[in-house]
Amino acid sequence: MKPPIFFDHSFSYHPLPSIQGLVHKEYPPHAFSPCFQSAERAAREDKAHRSLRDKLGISTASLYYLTASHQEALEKMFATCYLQEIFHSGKNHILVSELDRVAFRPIENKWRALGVEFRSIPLSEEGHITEEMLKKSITPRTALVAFSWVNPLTGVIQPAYDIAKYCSAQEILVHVDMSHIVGKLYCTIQDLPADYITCAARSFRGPHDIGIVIGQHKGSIEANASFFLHQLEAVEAAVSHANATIDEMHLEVTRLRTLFEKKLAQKIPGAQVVFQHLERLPSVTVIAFPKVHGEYLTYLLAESKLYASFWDDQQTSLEEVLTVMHVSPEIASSAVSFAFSQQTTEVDIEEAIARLFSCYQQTKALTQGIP
Amino acid sequence: MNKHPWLTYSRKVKQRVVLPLYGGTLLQTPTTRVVIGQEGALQEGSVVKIYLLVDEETGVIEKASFQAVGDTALIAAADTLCELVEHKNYAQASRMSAELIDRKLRDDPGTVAFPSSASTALNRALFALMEATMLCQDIAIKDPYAHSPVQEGGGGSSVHYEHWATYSLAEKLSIIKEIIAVDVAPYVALDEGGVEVKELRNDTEVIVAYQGACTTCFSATGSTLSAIQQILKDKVHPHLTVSPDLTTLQFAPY
Repeated sequence: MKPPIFFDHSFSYHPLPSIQGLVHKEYPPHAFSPCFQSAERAAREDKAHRSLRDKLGISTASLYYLTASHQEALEKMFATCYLQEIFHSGKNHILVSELDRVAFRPIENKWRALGVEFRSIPLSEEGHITEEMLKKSITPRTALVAFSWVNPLTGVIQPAYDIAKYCSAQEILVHVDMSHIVGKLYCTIQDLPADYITCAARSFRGPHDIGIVIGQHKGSIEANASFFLHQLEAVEAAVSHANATIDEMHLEVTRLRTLFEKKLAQKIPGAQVVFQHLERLPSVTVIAFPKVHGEYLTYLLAESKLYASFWDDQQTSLEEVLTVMHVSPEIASSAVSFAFSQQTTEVDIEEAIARLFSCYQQTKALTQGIP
Repeated sequence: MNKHPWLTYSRKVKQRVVLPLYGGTLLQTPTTRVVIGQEGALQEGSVVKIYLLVDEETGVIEKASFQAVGDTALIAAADTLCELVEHKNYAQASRMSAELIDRKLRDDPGTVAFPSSASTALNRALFALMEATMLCQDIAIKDPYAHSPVQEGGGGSSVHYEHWATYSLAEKLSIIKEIIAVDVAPYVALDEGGVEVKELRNDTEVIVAYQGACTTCFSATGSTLSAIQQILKDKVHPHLTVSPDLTTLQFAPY
């Protein structure tokens, strides 16, 4: 039986073995006592907080909270923005990157009822939010610009510093979702001129049901989120691991990705790396295959136990994402996303290429009559 | 969150995706012609071509095949459509519907084979078929009823009602009507016909009333009638027989 090969973000999301024990740890009887806070517990909490601030680069003047989900982190950020800015200033326009509309849809539906209007920021031909696009989209009523630093399916990195700097100069609040950045891109949060930052802990192999919301500069977070010490320690351990392995991500994982792209191009003439010329995550590549639909090929690959991605975790398809990024329909429909990790080996790459070639050959019987 | 489309596919759909049976092209022979219908374009990201090998004498489709660049739903739909149209004439083929494709691939008659999101793909395959059948319009169909549209044993597994004798007449009629609605009516609709259960005599004799094109069709008392009877015997009770309501027929049956 073929061993499974996970090139589908599984390892990016898989909680670290070391934190699995922490999250599901049994609590001692006094853990929930309202009047008993041991010195040992207080010390551990303080240590985890300081380490987390240090490793993520959160300044001591900023507030951050852990939430029960990434969605809750987004909700808290929007609630704060509404209460602190929209309600008082009357500016009721929120600009959301066109790539993020699906993630923000539940929030949109709720806040529309309170008179908040959500609009999309169109992307440039390169798939980026640019100053020019912002100029076209911003109105005197714009209160907040919200976008994700990176799209996990394409790995394409948005120029977050430039976007945040431009918006700050216009006195518009900025929200950046930095999921999938931790452990993959060198960054310090306090250097980012954004007012609100959110992140899903699972995107750096932390606990799956934890979100992080940070308020800095003009932003502050009105939150009464509570968390258990073990969850805080699990997040801290995952961030520490991500930081410790970031060099390996940029050297070895990038080398394996390049190897995969080169070998695939040799094996399947016409296979095309879609965003090779753009700044992208070191672990992700999008390949378009000639004359086959990406969803169909992904299905056949899954049957051969090579797991790749055609949808993200919100079920937005790669085809939709690429279309928004102005990729032609022919390329957008035939693309498949592959994600590599520190667990990926050269043997995996060789075996994956062989399985890909076999599945691709299988599709040829259905396309000979298509010119 | 919506369920992932792959999780809602029936087992039969998944089999078609992995091992399509009708992928390929066709070559014409001296007595047949190959017609090709196409929907979509490669530049649009999805295209399907349906090939029909049609007998130039009878208008009957001897073979069907397809070529496609499309998602899993399109591959499964085109493959199933090719199977459904084989040995039917082009007029019958032109009346195929998305529902018939879905019924063909259901694991359980009551559970749809495709999610609703697949309807675009199913209709894409049907448009290609429609275009192919349009290219046969010059062939006169000599015997439009050469084959009964009803497929014996099709549309689900065999289920017998063990306690049939203990059911009330209303319950028995309800069961028979359900089977006719699911396993017979969609297929006779291909020939613009209809059939409904009129009564159940002596607990074993089902009287059916024909409608539409069935009322003038000789197979209404022949192959179609025996197909309906076989389906009821297989799925309800082996002692059931089926007779037509003669007043609904517009020809002398015997």
